[in-house]
Formats: sequence, C-alpha cells, structure tokens
Amino acid sequence: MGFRFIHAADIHLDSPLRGLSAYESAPADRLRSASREAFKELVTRAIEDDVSFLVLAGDLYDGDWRDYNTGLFFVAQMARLAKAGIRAFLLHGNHDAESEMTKKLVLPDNVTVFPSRSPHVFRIDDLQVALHGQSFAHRVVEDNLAAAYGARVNGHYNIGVLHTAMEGYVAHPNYAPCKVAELHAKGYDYWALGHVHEFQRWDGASTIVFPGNLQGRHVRETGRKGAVSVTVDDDGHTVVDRLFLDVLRWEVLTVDADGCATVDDVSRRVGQGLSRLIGADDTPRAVRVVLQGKTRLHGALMGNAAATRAQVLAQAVAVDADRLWIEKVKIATSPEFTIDGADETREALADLQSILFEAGEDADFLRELLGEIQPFLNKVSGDVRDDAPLLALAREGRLGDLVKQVAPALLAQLSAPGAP
Amino acid sequence: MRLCELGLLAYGRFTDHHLRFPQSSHDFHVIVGPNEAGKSTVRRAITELLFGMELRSPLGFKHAQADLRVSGVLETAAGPRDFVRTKQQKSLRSMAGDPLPDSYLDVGLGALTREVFEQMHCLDHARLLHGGQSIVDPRNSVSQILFQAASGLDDFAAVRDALGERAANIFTSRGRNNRYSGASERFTSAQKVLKDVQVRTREWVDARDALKSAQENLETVRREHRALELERSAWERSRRLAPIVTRLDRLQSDIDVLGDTRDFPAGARKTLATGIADMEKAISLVKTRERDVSDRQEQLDAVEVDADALAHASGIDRLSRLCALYESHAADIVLRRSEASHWLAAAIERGVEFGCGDAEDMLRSRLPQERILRAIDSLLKERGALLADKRAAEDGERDRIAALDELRKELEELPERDADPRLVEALEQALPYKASEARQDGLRGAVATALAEAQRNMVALGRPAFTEDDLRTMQVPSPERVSAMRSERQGIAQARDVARQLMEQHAESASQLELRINQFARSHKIVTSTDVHGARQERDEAWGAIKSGVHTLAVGAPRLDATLRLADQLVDAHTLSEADGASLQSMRDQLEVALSDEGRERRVLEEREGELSRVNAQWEAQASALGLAGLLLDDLSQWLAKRDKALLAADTLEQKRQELAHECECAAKAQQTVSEALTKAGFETPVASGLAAMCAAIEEHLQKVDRTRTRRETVVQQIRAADTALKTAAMMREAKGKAVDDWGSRWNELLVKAHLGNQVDDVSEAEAAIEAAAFIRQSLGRIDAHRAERIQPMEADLQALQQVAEGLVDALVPDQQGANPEALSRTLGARLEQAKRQSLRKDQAQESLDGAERQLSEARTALDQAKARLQPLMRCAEVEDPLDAVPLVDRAEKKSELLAELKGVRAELEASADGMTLEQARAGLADHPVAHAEERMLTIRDRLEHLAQSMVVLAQDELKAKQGFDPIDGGAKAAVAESQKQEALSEMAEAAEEYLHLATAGTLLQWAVDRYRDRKQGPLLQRASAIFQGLTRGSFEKLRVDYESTPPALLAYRPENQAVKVSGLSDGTRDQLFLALRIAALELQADQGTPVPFIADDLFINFDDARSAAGLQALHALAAKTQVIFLTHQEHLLPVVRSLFPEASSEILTADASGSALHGEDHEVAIPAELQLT
Repeated sequence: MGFRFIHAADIHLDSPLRGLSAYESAPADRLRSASREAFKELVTRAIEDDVSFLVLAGDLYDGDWRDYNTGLFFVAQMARLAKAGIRAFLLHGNHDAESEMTKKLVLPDNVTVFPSRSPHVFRIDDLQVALHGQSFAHRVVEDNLAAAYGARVNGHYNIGVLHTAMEGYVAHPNYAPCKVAELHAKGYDYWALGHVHEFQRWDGASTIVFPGNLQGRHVRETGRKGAVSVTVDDDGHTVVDRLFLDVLRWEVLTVDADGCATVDDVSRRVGQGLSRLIGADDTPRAVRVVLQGKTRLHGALMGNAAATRAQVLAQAVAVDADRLWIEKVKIATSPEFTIDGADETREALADLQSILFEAGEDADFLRELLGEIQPFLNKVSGDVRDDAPLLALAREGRLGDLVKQVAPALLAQLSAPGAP
Repeated sequence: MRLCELGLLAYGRFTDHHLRFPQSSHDFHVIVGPNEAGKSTVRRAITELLFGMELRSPLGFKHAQADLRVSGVLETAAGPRDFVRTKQQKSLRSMAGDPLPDSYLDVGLGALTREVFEQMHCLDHARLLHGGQSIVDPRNSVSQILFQAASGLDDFAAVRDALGERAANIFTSRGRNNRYSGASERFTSAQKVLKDVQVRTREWVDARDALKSAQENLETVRREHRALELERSAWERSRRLAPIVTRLDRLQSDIDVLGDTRDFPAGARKTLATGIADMEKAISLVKTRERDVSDRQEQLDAVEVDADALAHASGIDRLSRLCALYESHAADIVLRRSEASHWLAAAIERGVEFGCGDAEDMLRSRLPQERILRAIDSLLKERGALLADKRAAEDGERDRIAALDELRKELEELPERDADPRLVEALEQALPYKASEARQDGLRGAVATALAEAQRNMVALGRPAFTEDDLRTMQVPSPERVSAMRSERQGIAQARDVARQLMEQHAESASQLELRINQFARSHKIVTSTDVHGARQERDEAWGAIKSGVHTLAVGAPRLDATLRLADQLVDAHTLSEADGASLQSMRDQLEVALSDEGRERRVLEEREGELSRVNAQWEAQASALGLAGLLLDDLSQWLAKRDKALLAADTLEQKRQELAHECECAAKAQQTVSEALTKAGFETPVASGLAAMCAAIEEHLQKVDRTRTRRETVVQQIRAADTALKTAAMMREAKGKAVDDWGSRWNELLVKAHLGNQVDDVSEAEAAIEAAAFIRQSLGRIDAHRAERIQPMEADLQALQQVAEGLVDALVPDQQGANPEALSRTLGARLEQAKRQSLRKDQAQESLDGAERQLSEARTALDQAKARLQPLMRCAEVEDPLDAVPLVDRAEKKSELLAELKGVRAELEASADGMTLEQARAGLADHPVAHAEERMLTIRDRLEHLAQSMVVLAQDELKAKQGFDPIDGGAKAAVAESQKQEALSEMAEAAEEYLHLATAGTLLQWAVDRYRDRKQGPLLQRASAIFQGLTRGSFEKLRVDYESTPPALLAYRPENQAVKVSGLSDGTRDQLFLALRIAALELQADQGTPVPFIADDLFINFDDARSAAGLQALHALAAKTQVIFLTHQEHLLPVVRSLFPEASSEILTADASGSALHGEDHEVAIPAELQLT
C-alpha cells in the first residue's frame, strides 16, 4: 500500500536570525518569527498533501532556549496535525537533548518521541512501516548510534531516523558519526537524517537524505531551505521531492563595480542585481552585498562605507522594501591605479604609504592608538562577538594587525578622485 | 672664508691694534670688554674691512676721517688675502699701499653683500629682538624654509576631521546620543523584555487553570442572566405590540369597503392630463407645416438654367488663361532670332583669322577638337614648373657638396679618449657617503634626543625610586591578567549599574501607575455595589410605605417613581463600569508588583556595591606589593605602557649610538678609496678637500669625456647621411633635364593635330589660337541654346492655343468658325457667368422646400408620440376616448394609498416583533397580557441586578486570569525579543567595526601626517629644535610647524607635549628661539656653501647664566663649521668658554684701548655652579 510522508530536521524553533540589524524600512517585524512561520508552512503542507506521517530528525529547539511559549507553539502545530489525522515522529538531536521543553512539555497523542536510552522501533501497522531511531541523551554524543539500530523488519518499509554528522562534515560537530556504506548495509529503505544543514542525498541500497535545515538563520546558510516529501509506491519504490518552505532566504549578491563612473552607478548596479534576485520567486531575501572588481571608485567606496551602505539600503527599499533585508555591504574592490606620477599630492601619498605601513610596528603609535580606542573597548558589550573582526583584533591586543587592516582603506580613501 | 687677523690701524679709539684669530678644531674667538671698551667698534671694523667704509664715519673722532684705516688677512679657497681698507678713492690697498682691484676679495666673499652679511652674520641683541618678532611672518625666508613641509598634504586635515566626526557619531566616551549607545540601549531593552516575557512550564499550567475556572464561573451566571433577559423581553414586547395590532385591523377594514379597482400604474392621473394637452397641440402644428410645403414647391418650378455653357465651363476658363499667358509671344520670337544672327557673325569673323571659312557650316567643321585644345593648354602650364625644377636640382647638388666638406673638417678636430675605469669604480663606491657628514650630524642629534627621551620617560613613570634595571626585573601582571581584573571589576560595576537602572525603572513604573490610578479614578465614574444596594433599599421603603398604607398611591407614587429611576440608573451605571472597575483593580495589582520589583532590585544593588568594594580592596593590596601603592586599577595599563615606553627609549638610545659609529667608519673608508683613485689617475688631491669635493671633481671629469665621445659619434653619423644625400641630389638633377626634353616632343605633335602646324610659329601664337577657338566654341554653343530654349517653345505655345479655340467654336458657336481666340474668349466668358447665376437661384429654392418638408414630418411624429403615451392607460381603462378614463383612475389611486399605509404598519410590527409572525405576536399577547406586564418586569429587573453584581466580580476574576495567561499562550514575544536582541547586537557589531575603522584611520592619519612632516621639515627645523632644547635647558623639547593654521605658525613644545605659540613665549625664550633658528640656518649654509664668519655681539644680555652657558654650547657646534667671533662684556663667562674651547683665542679690551690676549693656561678660573654644563 503506497503512502507519503514528510521528513524534516534542524527546525531550531524560535532561534533568531543572526547578523541582521533593523534599519528603517527593513521588513523586520514580519520576519522576526521566521522559524515559526516556516514550521507553520511545514505543517500546512503536510495537511494539504494529506501525508501519512511527519518525521522530525532532531534539533527541534535550541538547547539554551527556555521560553515555554516555544513548546506551546510546537504543541499547537502538532494539534493541527492531529486534527488532520497525521502522526509525527520526533527525535532529539544535540541541540534539543537537554532542552527544558524536551523534558517537561506534554505533547499531544499524535506525537511519538524516540527514546534516548537505546534504539527503538515504532511500527505503523496499517501502512506496514517500521521507524528505527534513538534520540540524543545529552548534547555531546560521539558514539556511532546507527551501529546499534536493530535489523530491518521484514514485510515493512523500514525508515532509520538518525541525528548524525555522517562522515565528518567539517562545518558541523562530529556527533554520532557513521559511514554511508554502513547505513546502506543496514538494509533499511530510507534514512531520515538530521544535523547537517545542507541538503544531501545518497542512493543505493537505501535512500539516505539530509533535508537541510528548515529555515536559514545567517548568511552562511544561503540558498533554498525546507524539507523533503517522500512518496513510497505500492512496490516500495521511493521518490524524494524537495519542499522549499523557508520564509526568508539568505543570499550573497556579488556586484562588479568595474566600469562604473560614479558611486551612483555602483548602487544602480546593485539595484539591478537585487531586482533579479527577487524576480526569481516571491520569497523575501536577506542579502549580503559584496562589491568587487578593479575600479577607480575603490577609495570613494572604502572611504565612506556608511554612505555606501546607505545607498545600497536605499536601492533595496526602492526595489522592494517588503521583501529585501540587507544584511551587510562588504566592499572587496581593488584600486584601478597605483600611486605614481609627478604630482605633488601623489608624491606625498607615496611617502605616506610607506609611513602608514610602518605604523603597525611602531610601539609609540600603537600605545597612542590603544589610548584612543580603550574607552570604547571598555564600553563595548562582551555579547558582541559575531562577525566583528576588527573588534576581535582590538580585544586580543593585536593592534598592529588592526592597523594593517585599516591602512589600505585609508590610503585608498586619500587616493580617491576628488580626495583628500 | 675666515678672518685670520684684523688690524685697527687708525680706527675709532684704536691705533695700530691687531686682533689675531688663529684656526683650531673649533674656530671660536672671544673678545671680552666692558661697555665703551670698543666691542661694537670691532664688529663695525670687520664689516667695513670687507665691504668698505662709510663716507662720514662716526669713528673719526680721534683720527681724521681721511686717515681712518683697517687691515686684514683673510683665508680663502685661493689662498690668503692680506690688504688694507682706507677712505681713499681706491679704498682697497695692499699692505704696501698700492691700489688693489675691487674683485680682489671676490674669491672670499662670492655674492655676499653688506646687507646680507649684517643681517645673517652680525647678530647683536637688537637684531635678536627684531628677528624674534618676525619669526611668524610667512614671507620671512626662515619661515619659508620651515613651512615647506606642508606641501602636498594641505587637504588631509579635512579627511581626518571627517573621520573624527563620523567616529564621534558612533561613539563618544561621555555622550549617550550616539549610534553605539542607541544600539546598546535597544539591546538592554530587548534583554529585559526577554527576561520579562519568558515563561516556565509551571507558570503556564497555573495560569491556564485559573483562567479556565474563572471562565466557567462567569459563563454559568451569564446563562441565567440571558434567560431572565429573554423573559423580560417577552413582557416588554407585549407592551410594545398591542397598539400596532389594533391599527392594523382598522386599516384592513377600510380597504375592504373600496372593493375591486382597475390596476393603473403609479402617477396615472397626471400622465392622463398631460397626454390630452400634448395631443391637441400636435394636431394644430401639422396643419401649419402642410401649408408651408405647398408654397415652396411653386417657387422651385419657376427657375430655368443654361446647361450647355455650364458643361463647357472648364474649356472656356482654359482658353481665357492661355490667351493671357501667350499674349507677348509673337513679338518676342522676332527679337530672339535677331540676337542669334548677331552672335554667329562675330564667330565667323574670328574663325577667318585661322582659316575656318566664312559660313556657319565651314566654321563648325574646321574648329579643333576640345580634348586637343585642353592637352595643348596643359602642356603650356607644365612648362614653367619643369624649367624651375631643373634649376633647383642643380642648386641642391652644390649645397650637399659644401655641407659634407664641413663635417669632415670637424671630425678631424675632435680628439679620441675614454674615461679611467678606476675613477668610475671609486666614484660608485663613494657616492652613498657623499652626504655622510649631514647624516652624522643628524645621528648625533638623534642620540641626544634619544638620551633626553629616555630620561624623560623614566621621570614620566612617577616612581623616582625605580631604576632601569628595576623596571626590567619587575614582576608585573600580564596584560591578560590586567584585562581579566579590569573585566571582573567592570562586570561588577556594569551589573551594579544595571541593577540601579532597573530599580529606577521599577520606581518610575510604580510612580506612573499611582498617577494613572488616581487619574483613572477621577476620570471614570465607578458605581460600587454598595451604591446600588442603598438605592434599592430606598426604593423598597417607598414601595413598602404604599403597600402598608403609610402613603396613599397619589402621595407615594412620585417618590416611588424617583427611587425606581435612581435604582435603575445606578444598576445600569454599575453594569457599565464593570470593566472600568476591573481595570482599576488590575492597575492596583500592577502597582503592587512594581513596588515589589523595586525592593528586589534595591537589594541586588546593595550586593553589587559590596562586591565592588571587595575587588577594590584586593587590588589595593596587590598594588602595594608591587611598589605601586596608590595606583588605580584603571591606570595600571597606562602605567605599564609607560614602563614599556621607558624601556623602549633606553633601547632606542643604544641603537642610535651604534648607528652613528657605523656611519662614521663607512664614510672614512669611502674617502680613502676615492683619494687613492684620484692619485692613480693623476689628479692632485688637496689636503683640505672633503669627500664631497673629490666626488664632484671626478664627476666633472667623467662628464667632459662623455660629452666628447658623444659628439664624435654624432658627426660620423652626420657624414654618412650627407654622403647619401649628395648621391640623391645628382640623380635628381639628371631626371629634371630629361623631363624638359620630353615636353618639347609632345608639344610639336599636338600642334599638328590641331590643324595649327602651319598657322603658328611660337608658343605665344599657339596661346592666341587656343583662345580664338575657345571663343568660337562658346559662341556656337550660346546660339544653339538660344534656339532650343527660347524661340522653339514659344512657337509650340501659340499652336496649342489655336487648337483649344477651334474646339469651343464647334461645341458652342458653330456659326463663328475662324474667329480670333481672344474675341472668342470674351464672348464665351460672359455667357458662362449668366448660366452660373441661374444655377445658384435654383439650388436655394430646392433647399427651402427640403426644410419645410422636414418640419412637417417632425410635427406628425410629435402627434403620433402623444397618442402613443396615452395608449397604455386607454387599454387599461378599456375606453376609446381619454376623457372617459379620468374617474376610473381617481378611485384606483385612493385604494393604493390605503394599501401603502397598511404595508407601513405591517413593517412596524415586523420591526418591533423580534422576528415573530403576526400570529405568533397575537399568541404572545395572549400569553403575556399587557395588564400584568409592569409588575412582572419589576420582579425580573431585581433578579437581573443581583446577577449583574455577581458578573462584575466574576468578570474581574476572569480579566485577572486572562491578563496572567495572555502573554504566555504560545505567543512569540520572547522569540521576537530575542530577534530584536540579535538585531541590536548586529548593529552594535556594525557600529563597533565602523568605529574601530574610523578611530584607527583617524589616529593613523594624524600620526602619519605628523611623521611625514617631521621627515619633510628639513634639517633646519630639526637642528633648530635640538639647539632650542639646549638653550632652554629642556624647558622646551621640540619645534614644530602647525600647517593647519592660516598662515602656518611655529609652535614650541614642552616635554609634556604642550604646544606654545611664539607669542606665548617670554622675551628671553623668544630671543633663544630666534638664536636657535639663526644658528641652525648658519650651520646649514656652512654645509652647503662657502662658510662666512659669524659675529655675535653681546647676545646673552637677557640670558641668565645657565642659559648663557647653553648658548655657548650651541655656538660650540657652529664653530666646528664656521668661524665664530664672540664679543661680550660678561667676563665671568670666560671659564665656560675655556672649558668648551680649550684652543680658543681670547682678547680683553680695556677702556684705555689697550688689549691683551688671554689663554686658558694663563687664566685658570673656576666655573661657577650655575654655569656648569649638562
């Protein structure tokens, strides 16, 4: 008897979007609950497609998140599924193993949780389906959990549910490691995996799938996100279709400033890029804009990064304020000319260049610089950690490296047309 | 140049007085004497010795003006110059008295003038003061040298200011109104919200149960309340519907009386009257229009028209136009034929001269062809150019021969020689050290500066007991440890600040809630249960008085009525203020919570302050152990930085000393190498010449050899080119001669072809023949064109006119065959005009008839429409005459009005019956008789009031429970707060990155520009800084130019880096500043050109002894480069002079004009303590 189910993982409910600052006109109010909206979409899709059950392969919550409202929201969504007669199988991963919600939340009857003490098999007799799985007992599980999973149940469609880093994904902690061949060898029909945030699929004896996370949360999680819909026909053949359920998509827009005569030209080019981006579909975008290329505007762009960001924001608002949220404007251009020529200012700049690069080694200057920025370092909150490389250098006392980072931009600014 | 001896032979109060200035390693000479002893006379004598005496000298008081004489011995690059300066006409004389040329001293003085010498090299106290005043003038030469370093960086200050301004927008240490603070406040706020809205499991379950219970209780009471409301509605409805049902029955009866009527449409009465009037008016109009049509038809039939003339109207018009157009053709044809005959006769006359015959046909056949005439003309034009080219080629060949001869002669005169490779190699090795002396001076200055820096840094530590070794061996905490201690203390302080902030916020909230409660109570009239209960008691008493007979109904009814109304109003108001009461209670609960929170935060604040005191005490103990008692923890990093700086300064001093030694050694080696190379190459090496002079001599020699070799190569190349050019010129001359010969052959051939072989004898005759042929050809062309373009077209026009006239005669007037076209045109034109007038009259009559017929048709249509409008009524009434329908319509409309009223009453009943049918309403009236309605409603109202009181209490309970539950029903407030917190963090990170970038860039730019200017300021300011530091005994450390002020200004810096403008210096310090600048300029000049003696005349008048000693030390360095003659009345300076200049000559002038030389070994004088040099 054929059936269909949805496999999702790494929901991270109520985990905030990171790296986005709320400027005026940014669609902040609408997208602050992106993980909830995406999860609602998942449940809605399950109801509309009339699936037989839902599999959640770990990391439903973030471990250090204690607000009971998150659990209540999950319960409410599960209640929607219950009303539609859909069961849900939930496995805890490293993030939700120690969560307050995991321990205390009373779940509706249609939700079945895999135990953490040992592997367990749940059967759905009317569909002839057997689900094997084991939740994480605590945050760090370095044992190969899959090795202890039981043998396939004959006459059933066997699904292995597992939260694992597989064969060592460097971007993710190496929890519950195992190998692809090992999973194939289990003889299951389908492996519903979680933990890795990018979609991955292996075919063979088993169909092994990482659906990726449901909703990207920062700029390192770009591209389309969601779950997979798995259709099993009467003969037990498996068809996997991706479902794109994210309500905010992260993108990196690279814009070449080569050939632009003015900063306005650059911002117009950014505007065109943003238009193309959101023209692809209706999903709102969080965009990191990277300006690159060799241009004579290098100095003007580097010299006033705040103004450049403001121009890009204006373009985003003009293109579609409701669907574009600019995460950051990164200026990675290079200058079009070298400092030479007989002109008095050019000579001065050439001399100044060598002096600027001496500064990083000059103890007197570094002390003076420390005196200048120390009040700020005293004031700045310890919570500011992400994506602040200059701040990291300053905190570590690596002021020489800080100067080396800043000096080229300063020189570019001084060399810019119309400057100093 | 230096002065070896000055002879005051007859000058001022001196006679045959000689001052000698022997050379030593430091060329310093002191002349001591009291006032009026003759020091200024000596200074004046030196000037006048070099540049001549004034015409009327003030010094001619002892000797006659004409006898004034001074002598001198100068040491110059060209050897010694000894001479006498007199007031004679030839003032420059030899020792023997013979006149010397004016250029005798040029080798020593060069371009030096008296004014420059007095300005730069003779410095007395008055000039010192004047110079001090003029330092800040940018036009001053010294200032120009100082300010040159501003070049190229003029606008960078604007960039730095912009960076600073943008950084300040992000963060300032004291301000709160900036971007980082804004983001930080949002972060704190979001964090607080997050803390407030986060919900634990137990809280949620309790809140949910409380809300559920409150809702159930409230619902029970509400159900009973609704049931009673329904019953009260039934009684109320009964009282309301009874009169409506009565009116309904009466109307139905009236309608029945009228019986059946016909159904006319609405407004039938008015439609009928209007239709009858319209029909009568339409019948009258139709009759009038019929009479009009008959009259117009008769007028049309009476008009007749000439159709033939109108049919040929276009032909008649064309004939008229052609007659006018060709009127002058006949006379014009005769005139043109006469002109053609005249032109032909002139052409035949020119043709006869060259044998062309006397008839037009012969002339046309004998005329030469056009292409042959053009070829002859072309050859004639070529002839002159060919002859000129031939002559030019011959001249060119002669010029080439002469140029080649000159080049060969120059080559023979140029010698062949190459540079000596030993000199080249030596020069390459020595060049890097050519300017070594200046570098050595710079390094000496750097050593002195580093020494002072090291001492100052030790002092800056503020711990005099510490030595350098103490500092190196000191066990100071690591930066990480310092940072950790500060972080711990900062964390506690921040926590204390947060606690204080929260406590203040809670206090503020409590205060605002109290205010809101007071305002709420004042602005809302809240009726309590007690108020309602009192009103009811009063009502019951009034009712009881009537029932018990205390009052009659007439007396008690008004009071009962009033108490009833009051009780009702209070109950209604109480019900209405149910929500307000609940809100007020809710606010009071919130106030209680806020006061509790404030107390809690106050306790936290006290705990944090205790922790802070403990950490401060720990640090004080640790600082004492390190020997840093009293140092604040926040200042520790700065103190450690100063310690690092002091150790670094010590290292720098050692490094500078090593660099100086290395530079001196390398320069000496280079000089030895060059000297040996010069000797081997046969050059004489002067003993006194330095490395720079030897390098210059080698460079000059090598440049000369190189120039000669280059010239020889150039001449050889020019000879080769001239030879080639000569061959080309010979070939050109031959080609031009051949071209002239070819021209003669082609000329003869063409004359034969033009039939002129026998007619012309030379070139001029040929030119005349060509001119005649061109005239004849032009005349014949003109005649042909005249015939074709003028005469023949006119003949064709006249023929066409005749054909048109004949056509019209045949069609219209056959009896006038052969008539003249012009006469015919006039006759037919008149006939056509008459026919057109008749046609116009007929058209107008037809148009009038059409209009009358149209009006008749419209009148008939109007009549038909009036009848049609009445047709529906007539059919409805079933009558033929409209007047018969009038009474039927009146009765039908009366019945319609009654039915409309009945419909209104039914609608009223429907609106008031709460959805019941008439039958249900009649049944309701039977069940709820109107007579009992009032009493029953009173009973029900009492019960409802009781229930309303219960509902108020239960609604408050529900509201409170709901307020507790609503924020924790699975909402996303915490998630949103966390998002806002992350957004604030992102903004803080962005702001931090931008601030660090801007602050670093701003500091970096300032530092880089300062360093750039330090390097570019030139040696003058560097040297002046060092001298000024010495002169002020360290009160000032350095001199800098403030390039950003307008105009640029000179600033003196104290050791603590405090800048002082020149105007802010004391008089004495300003003198020292100018002296420092002047000495630095003289040192620079001595390095770059010919040294000139420096005369210092009582410079240290305003200097105390210590500064005078420092001044002498400055002159010590100058004396190493040029001669210094120091005139002073301060005899007590002599020991200092002796200690600095052991070999210096000294001279004491006395008031009796005798002098005696002093020598150190002869006059041992102890140096007073205040003159000890440091």
